[in-house]
Amino acid sequence: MVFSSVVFLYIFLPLMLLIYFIVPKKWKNLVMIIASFIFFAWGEIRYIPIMLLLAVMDFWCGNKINKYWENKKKRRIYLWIDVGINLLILFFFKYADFIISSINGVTGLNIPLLNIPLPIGVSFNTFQSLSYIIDVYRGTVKCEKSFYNYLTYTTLFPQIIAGPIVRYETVDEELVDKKISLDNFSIGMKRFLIGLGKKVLIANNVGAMWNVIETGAFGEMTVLLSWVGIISFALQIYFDFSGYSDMAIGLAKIFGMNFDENFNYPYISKSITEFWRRWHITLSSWFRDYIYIPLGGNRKGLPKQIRNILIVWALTRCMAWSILEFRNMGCIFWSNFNYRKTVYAQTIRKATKNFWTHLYNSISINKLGNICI
Amino acid sequence: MKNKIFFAIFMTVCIVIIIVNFIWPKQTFSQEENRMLATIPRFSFESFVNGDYLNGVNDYINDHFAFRNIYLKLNSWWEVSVMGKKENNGVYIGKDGYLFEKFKYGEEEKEKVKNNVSAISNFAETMQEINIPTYFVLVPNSIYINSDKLPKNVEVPDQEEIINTVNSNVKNTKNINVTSALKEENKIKPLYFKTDHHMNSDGAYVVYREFCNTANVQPVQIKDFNKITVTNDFLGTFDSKAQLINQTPDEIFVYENEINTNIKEAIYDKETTKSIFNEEFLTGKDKYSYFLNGNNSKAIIKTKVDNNKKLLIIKDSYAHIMSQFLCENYSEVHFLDPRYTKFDYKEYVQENGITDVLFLYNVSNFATDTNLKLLFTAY
Amino acid sequence: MFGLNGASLANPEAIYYLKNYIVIILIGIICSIPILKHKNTEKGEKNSKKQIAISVFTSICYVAILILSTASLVNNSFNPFLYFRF
Repeated sequence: MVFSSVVFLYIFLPLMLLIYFIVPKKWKNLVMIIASFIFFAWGEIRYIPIMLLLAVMDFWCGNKINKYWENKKKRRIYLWIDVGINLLILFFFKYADFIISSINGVTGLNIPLLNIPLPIGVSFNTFQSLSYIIDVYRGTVKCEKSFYNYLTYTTLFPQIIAGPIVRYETVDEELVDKKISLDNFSIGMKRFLIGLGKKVLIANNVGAMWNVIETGAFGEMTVLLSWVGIISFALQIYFDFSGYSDMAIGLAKIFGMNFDENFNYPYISKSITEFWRRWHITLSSWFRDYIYIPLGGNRKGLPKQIRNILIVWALTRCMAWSILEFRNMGCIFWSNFNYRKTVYAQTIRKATKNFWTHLYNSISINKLGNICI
Repeated sequence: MKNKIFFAIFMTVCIVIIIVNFIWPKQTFSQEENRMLATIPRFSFESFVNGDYLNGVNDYINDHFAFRNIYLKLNSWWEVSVMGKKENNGVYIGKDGYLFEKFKYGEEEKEKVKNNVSAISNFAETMQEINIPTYFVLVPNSIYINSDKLPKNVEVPDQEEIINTVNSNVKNTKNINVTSALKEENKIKPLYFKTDHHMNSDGAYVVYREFCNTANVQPVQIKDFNKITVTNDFLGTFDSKAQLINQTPDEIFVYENEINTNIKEAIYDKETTKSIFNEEFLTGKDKYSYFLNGNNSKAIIKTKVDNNKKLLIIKDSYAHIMSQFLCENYSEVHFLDPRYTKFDYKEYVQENGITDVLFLYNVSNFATDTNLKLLFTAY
Repeated sequence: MFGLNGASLANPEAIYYLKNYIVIILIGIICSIPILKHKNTEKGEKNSKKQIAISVFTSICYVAILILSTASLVNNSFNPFLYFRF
């Protein structure tokens, strides 16, 4: 199911909200869980058993880590068990067929491909699980003692498809104590409607322009068309993703929870680094906190910093699914690396005024994004 | 305070929409869309798991959303009046209230045209063997003849070129080229509907006149008819797609005389009447069905014309409006539509004493039709 | 992109499309910049007539977003046929 559909807006959501607000406090999470399952089943029913499995594994490992807190070795084992299973499932869905066809190519066997379509939401679910278990391991959060609450957290339907990556620490209190009020309903619903408008009225519309250009219906690519294409592409992905995030954040607010902001006017960025602090904030901070910084970040000297950037880039390339954004991210990290190191870039930064750097950056970001497609 | 106001206004609107959706009676057929509306799918475990059941439920909910038509008009207002678009749902919005459905002529279409050409050529060859002349008319669409009314910068494939190519490739037929005549006459009076993909009676007359000249038949002069306006409220297929608010409707007028109003009988699929027109259709959306009782697989007009000439027309719906003229020169006119029928056409010709065969198509249909190939390649 | 391989400046079809989408592109550009961050001045009485009028107006705008979006979604499922399909 998608937010931008008649079914969701006029049947699923009203019914669900009605039931949610009526039931007593301790059952609200149950309503959320059931709603999330229905929501997910409406599109990706085959993934549900796996989602349940992961939830159980996360929960179980989290509790084991808590139990064996003093024993560093055991702690690490349970961490890697959970991380392993999450990554295994992730790579399975992404690379199973790729590996099979490679094996076929090399050995001449003819193992049939599994042809599993990638379930939407796999990636975000995985990121969420990983952030939980790593945070528990580090001691940043206390592990969740109630499977009921943990299941609610991991299946939250507002963010399960493409929403902001919600870390456990963001909502751990609210899982138990929802902040439901008329004010929150209004604020959340307004946010939701803005997201809906962004997605349906702007993104879909501008996207139609981009589709026509992308499919090469125009024959030759004129100068005018390239510019229009890049602008419409940039607008489409921004309004699509930020609209979706708005809807997720709005819904959460209505339910009495608070998600983190995910987009902060990325197109006014004056540098590429700033861009990544404004675009899909939860995702880039996930990579920063769980991969870049643990590897040392930029604190262990330049060679290691370059290595770290490359690792993140490689991972994002690996994780570049049909979500266009990941491909962009890979390209951008790479260009970030290049960009910082060239004298040219440094001269630009010093010599030009804000507006031009901003323009240059926006164009180069989108141009690179375009090339990467 | 502002949150309370928002809550009140928002909830009122939502509750109204939801309740209306609940109590509003469900329709089965949509006149606007000319199709049956979706029904609730039957549940089975398998269809649930592979997603079909839920897709069906999705379709059902979408199809039966209350006041669907108002939303469509609202959307077209937003797209056209506010966003300034010059097209909506695949229909160009031209000057002077003209609408045009988009016409594409790519590789796929060229292939279909080729198939249709060989199908007709093959059939015409078999007709030659039994000494029946086969005539062929490919009529251009409004989007080509009225291209000056298109929005600025829109380019449309050259239909005249397509027609000339087809005419030179089709074999064993007597081709009738109506393009120049239509172009000329269109400067004097409109030959096509603004809101529909068909010609009007004036356009039909031009095609009739050109056909007669080639078939060595005497066309009745237009001044010998009575021009009658049948309705002023016609909103056709283009309007159904474009859904514009404030679209000026078309006028349907016909040319009547003694011969085409006083026929022996008209045999259609589901009924036999005494008229080539049917006024009942004038109350619905699809008013073009006034001509020849709508879409039939077979329609036979038996006139009081006293000759032994019987015309078989293999056509799309462009020929319907020509029925008023073709009645004048033949004792029987048979209309067969390959979209709906699987006749053995050669047998039909022989059994019914057909003396002339005419293929009548419009370019847009000809480039997308696949039925001719199915039915006539056997020949 | 800058006409470097001798690509032409524009063709008529492109201009037509651009004209169709120019408004939405402009709206998009404006909305992706924080121009619209209205300052919430709490000057004056909270429940003054003016404040209420503004609240009602903005609420109606939000509802308009819902209705327009619904119209667009309904249009996506619109599937007319020229000829009745048996």
